Amino acid sequence: MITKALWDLNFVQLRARDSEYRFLSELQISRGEKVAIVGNDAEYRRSLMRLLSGLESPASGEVYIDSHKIPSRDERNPWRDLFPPSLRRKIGISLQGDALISNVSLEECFETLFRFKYGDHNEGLKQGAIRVPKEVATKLGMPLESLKKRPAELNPLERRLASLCLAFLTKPSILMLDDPSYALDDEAWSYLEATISSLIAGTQKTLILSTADWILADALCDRWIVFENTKLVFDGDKKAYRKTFGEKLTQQLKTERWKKIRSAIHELEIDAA
Amino acid sequence: MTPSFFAFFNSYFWEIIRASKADKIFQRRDIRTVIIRQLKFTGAQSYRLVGIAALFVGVMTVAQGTAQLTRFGGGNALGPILVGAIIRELAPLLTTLIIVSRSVSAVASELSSMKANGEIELLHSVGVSPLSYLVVPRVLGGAFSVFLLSIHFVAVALISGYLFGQFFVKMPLSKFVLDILHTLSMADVGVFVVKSLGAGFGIFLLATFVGLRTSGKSYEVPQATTQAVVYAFLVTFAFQLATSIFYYFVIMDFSMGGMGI
Repeated sequence: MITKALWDLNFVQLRARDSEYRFLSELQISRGEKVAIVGNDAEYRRSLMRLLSGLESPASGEVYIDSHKIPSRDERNPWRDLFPPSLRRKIGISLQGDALISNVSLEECFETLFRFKYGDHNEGLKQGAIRVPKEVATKLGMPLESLKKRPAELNPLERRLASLCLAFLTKPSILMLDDPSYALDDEAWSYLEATISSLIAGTQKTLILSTADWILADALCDRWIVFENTKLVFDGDKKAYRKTFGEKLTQQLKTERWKKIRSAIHELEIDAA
Repeated sequence: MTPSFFAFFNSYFWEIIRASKADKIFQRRDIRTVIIRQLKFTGAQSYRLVGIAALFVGVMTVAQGTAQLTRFGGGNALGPILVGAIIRELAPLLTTLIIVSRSVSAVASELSSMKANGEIELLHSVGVSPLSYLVVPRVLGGAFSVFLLSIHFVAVALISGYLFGQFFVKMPLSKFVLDILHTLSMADVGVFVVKSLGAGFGIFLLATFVGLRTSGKSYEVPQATTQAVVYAFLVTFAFQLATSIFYYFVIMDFSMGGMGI
């Protein structure tokens, strides 16, 4: 049952890396919604994801997450988390670039982060820190041997799955995926899409997906927030987007499918050679 | 170093204290593991280098000391010379300098690389304070390593000094040890502990601060490394000087009834 907005943004100016201003007059996201942030303005998507995930404060305006007002960041103290720990525990994030702790194995990384999040003051939690990462990895189809590896030893799909594993590790009610299909080949893309779909299908999890991949957005989300050339051009049900921008969307999907087909043909040619 | 650097560093220091309390770091096994790893990296892997430096310093101090002292018939004052030169001054200073060039640069480059690779953001995103997980173990492990290595330095320098000194002035080992113990005061021990531990804390705090202060661009990694080493050298000399001044002009002055040294 959706009662009130989980995210509530009012007159927000985002902190973007380039000199262009990104402004949002209003945005609400409710519990249980599956939202895709799509479009060609990567900086807009990036800065909005950072804002929603509490990694960045707004340059101006008000942001409420789960009724908690995000404070403006003290420039001299960027080390303090903008979210309270209770809110942080509910969120699972897979960051763009698949960041993982590089100097330890995946197993140690997952166990440590699990213990940090929940503590290890009783036997159940101690065992949970060992058991849960293996369970999540199995669900994602990761071979358990790959948990012994360090991030530098993983292939791109394993790395992406490890990043997803981290997001699903603490059974979050809010899931945020930043460009999960970026730079994956066709086979890996299909595997990833099927895996994420199976993990979120039929759940009440809130999903925020930032992507330039319209096909993935179509597969996983019902609501689309579309940014193009520093402007918010659409926010609503994807069916409404189809109605309004039907031809444009068809073209976008065709282009992406054509890209996939071309890459598949290219791979076949390499195999044949 | 602009005033904003100090303001930034000040808030960094207090945020470390706050995060450590909030995360109850001493009750966490993972923190202890990282502290032990840091002790191994900074302490265990540096003891040979520090030992070699101590060997040379012990020999040189004895060579210089004996050459000067025998001219004035004070060859037996070797013990006090070694206590003054090695325990109070050279051991903490040289050990810290060795660690600055070896481990401070490594810590700063490690943290700035982690920032460039998005690992610091990853920790934030999963609700783990980088200060509790990365900074505190490195500072504690590093500071304690400097302290232990300084003790190692003293031991090697005294032994090598004694053995080399036998070529010039024959002295029984028992007399040498008693001379040192007789000369060594609680103030000397205190100065040694403050200098080695304090400098250790200072340089690793600075290294982590410089490493994390970068904006996350890969070209900043070598800049942060160089900056951390330069600042750490300056802090080391300034801290050792300040502690020595305090020792000679306040503690010694007080114990000698205001007569000065």
